Amino acid sequence: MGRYIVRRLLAMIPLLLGISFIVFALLNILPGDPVSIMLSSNPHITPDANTIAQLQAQYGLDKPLFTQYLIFLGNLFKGDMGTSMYTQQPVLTAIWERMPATAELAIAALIISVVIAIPVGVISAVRQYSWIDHLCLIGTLIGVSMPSFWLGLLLMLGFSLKLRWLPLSGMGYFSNGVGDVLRHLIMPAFTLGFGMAALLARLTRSSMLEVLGQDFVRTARAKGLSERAVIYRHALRNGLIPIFTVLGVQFGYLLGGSVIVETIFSWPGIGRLAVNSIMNRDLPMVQGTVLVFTLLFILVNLGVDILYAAIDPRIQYD
Amino acid sequence: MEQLETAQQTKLSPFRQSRGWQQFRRNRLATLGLVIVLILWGATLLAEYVATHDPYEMDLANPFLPIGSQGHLLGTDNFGRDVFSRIIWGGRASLTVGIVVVGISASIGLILGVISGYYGGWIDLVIMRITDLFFAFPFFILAIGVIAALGPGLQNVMLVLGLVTWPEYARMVRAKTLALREEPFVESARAAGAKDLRIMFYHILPNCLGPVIVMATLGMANAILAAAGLSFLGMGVQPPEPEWGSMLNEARIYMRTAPHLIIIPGMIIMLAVLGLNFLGDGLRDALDPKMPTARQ
Repeated sequence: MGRYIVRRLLAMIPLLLGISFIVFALLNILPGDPVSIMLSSNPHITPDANTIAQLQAQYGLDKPLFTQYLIFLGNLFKGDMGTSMYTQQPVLTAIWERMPATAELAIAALIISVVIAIPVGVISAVRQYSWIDHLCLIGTLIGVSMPSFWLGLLLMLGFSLKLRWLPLSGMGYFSNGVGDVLRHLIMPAFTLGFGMAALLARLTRSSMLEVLGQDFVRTARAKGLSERAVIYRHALRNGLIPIFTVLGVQFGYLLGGSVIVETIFSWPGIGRLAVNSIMNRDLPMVQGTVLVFTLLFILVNLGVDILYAAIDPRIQYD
Repeated sequence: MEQLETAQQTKLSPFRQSRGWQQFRRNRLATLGLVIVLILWGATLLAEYVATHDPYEMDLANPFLPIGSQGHLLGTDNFGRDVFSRIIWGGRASLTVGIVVVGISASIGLILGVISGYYGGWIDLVIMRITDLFFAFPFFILAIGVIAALGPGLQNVMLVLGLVTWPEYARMVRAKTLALREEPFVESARAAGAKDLRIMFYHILPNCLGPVIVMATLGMANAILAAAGLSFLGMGVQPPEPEWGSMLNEARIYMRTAPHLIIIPGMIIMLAVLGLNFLGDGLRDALDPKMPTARQ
C-alpha cells in the first residue's frame, strides 16, 4: 500500500509538469500580447510604446519563451503564481481567500447529489423495467440535459422572487447563525448537485444490476435473508465501490459547474473569481484559477484511487 | 466520412442491421429523441420560412410582451424583439456548434486513436500520455482558460470545445483497434498486401463506427450544453446575435418583470440536449448489444 502511494505520487510529477506547461502556454504562446490586451481593456490608460515595454519587463515577457517557463515553474515551487494585473493582489492570496466558499459549495453539492442518486439508482435497479424504473430513467436523462444555469435561475424565480423563502444570492456566514448559512447554501448547492445526481443515479443503477445478478446475492437470498437485508447489506455495499471510483471524475464536473453556479448566485468562490478575471482580461489570475482547479481535481482523483485500494481488498497494486 | 459509412453497411450482415433497427424502433424514448431533434433542427434550417419576424428588428414601443401576444407567439424581449424568431434563428449557432465540435474532436480522436492502437510502441505511449494530460483538466475549466486567452466568440468556442474533447474518442478507438488488430480479417488484408494506411482507415475504423456514432451523438449534446454555458457567461456568441445561452444571459436582469424570457430559451436548450441524449442512449442499446444498460 505504501509503495503504491509513493508510485502514484511519483507518477504525478510528469503530469504536473505537463499541466504547468499548458497553463503557461495559455498566457504566453497563444496569439495576442497579454500586456496590450490588458491595457486595451482599461479605458483610463492610453498605451504608449514605453508603458508597454515597461510592463513587459515587469512581467518578464521580454525574455525568451523557455526562460519564461522556467521562471514560471520556479515561482510556482515557491508558491508564487504572480500578481493580478487588475487588483495587484498576489494571485495565490486571492484564490486562497475564496477557497472556503468553493469548498463549502462543492461539498454540499456532493452530499445532495449522493443523497438523491443512491436511492433512485437502487430503486430503479431493484425494480428493473417497472414504471418506476422508466420514470427514473427519464428523470435522470432530463437531469443530465438541463443546463445548470437555467435550473439556478428557475429556482431563484420560484423560491426567492415568487415565494420569498430564500435569499436571492450571496453567501451566509456562521456569525449570523447556521440557518443563515443553510438558507444561502441550499439553492446553489442543489443547482450544482442536480446534474451530478442524475449521472450518479444512472451509474448506481447499472452497478446494482450487475451486483444483483451475482452468486453471493443468490446465496444471501437462499439462506433466507429478508429482501431488505440482501439489497442494502449485501448488494449495495459492493455496488457502491465502482460508483466511488467515478466520484473523482465527477468532481471535475462539479468544479466546472461551480464556475457557472457561483456566477449566477454571486457566490464568492474561485469559480466566480475565474469568470471575473476573464472579463477583466486578468491573465495571471486566469492562469492561477485554472491551475488551482486542476490541482484540486488531480488531488481528489489521487485520494479516490488510494481510498479505493484501501476499500476493495481484491485489488492488489504491488 | 460517407465512404466509411457505406463501407460499414456493406460489411454488416443484413441480420445484424435489421436487429439494430428493430431494437432502436422498440426504444420509444430514442424515437422521441429523433423526432425532437428533427423538428428543432428542421425549424432552424428553415429559419427563413419558420420565423415570423426579423430576429434583430426592435420595437421599443412593445417590450416584454407576454407569451401568446398578438403577432408574437412567444412574446417580445427588452428591445421588443420577437422571442420566437430569435429562438428559431438562435438554433443555428447551437446546431453549428454541435456539428463542428463533434467534427473536430471525432476526426482528431479517430486518427490519433487508430494510429496509437495500430502501431503501439513509443507512438502509442506519446499519444496516450497526451490524452492523460487532457483528462487531468476539468473539461469546462480548461475550456474557459483557453477562451480567456483566445477571446470570446462562436468560432473560438467551437475550436476550444473540439480541441478539449477529442481524447475520449482517441481512447475508445485505440482500445477497439487493439482488439481488431489481431482479427483474422486484418491478418488477411495484410497478407493480401494492403498498406498500413488502408488497413487502418478501410478495415479497422469502419468497425469502430458504432460506438463512435453513439459517442458523437452524446458529444453533440454536451457540446451544445457547454457552448450555451459559455455564451451565458458572456464568452461565446455576443449580442445582439441570437443564441439561446446569451438570450438567457441578457434576460437575467429582467427576471422579475419578464420570467418568460428566462423560461423559454432554457427550455429549448434542454429540449435540444434531451433529444440528442435520448437518441444517443437508444443508439447505444441498438448498436452495442453487449452494453449492460440495454433496455427493451
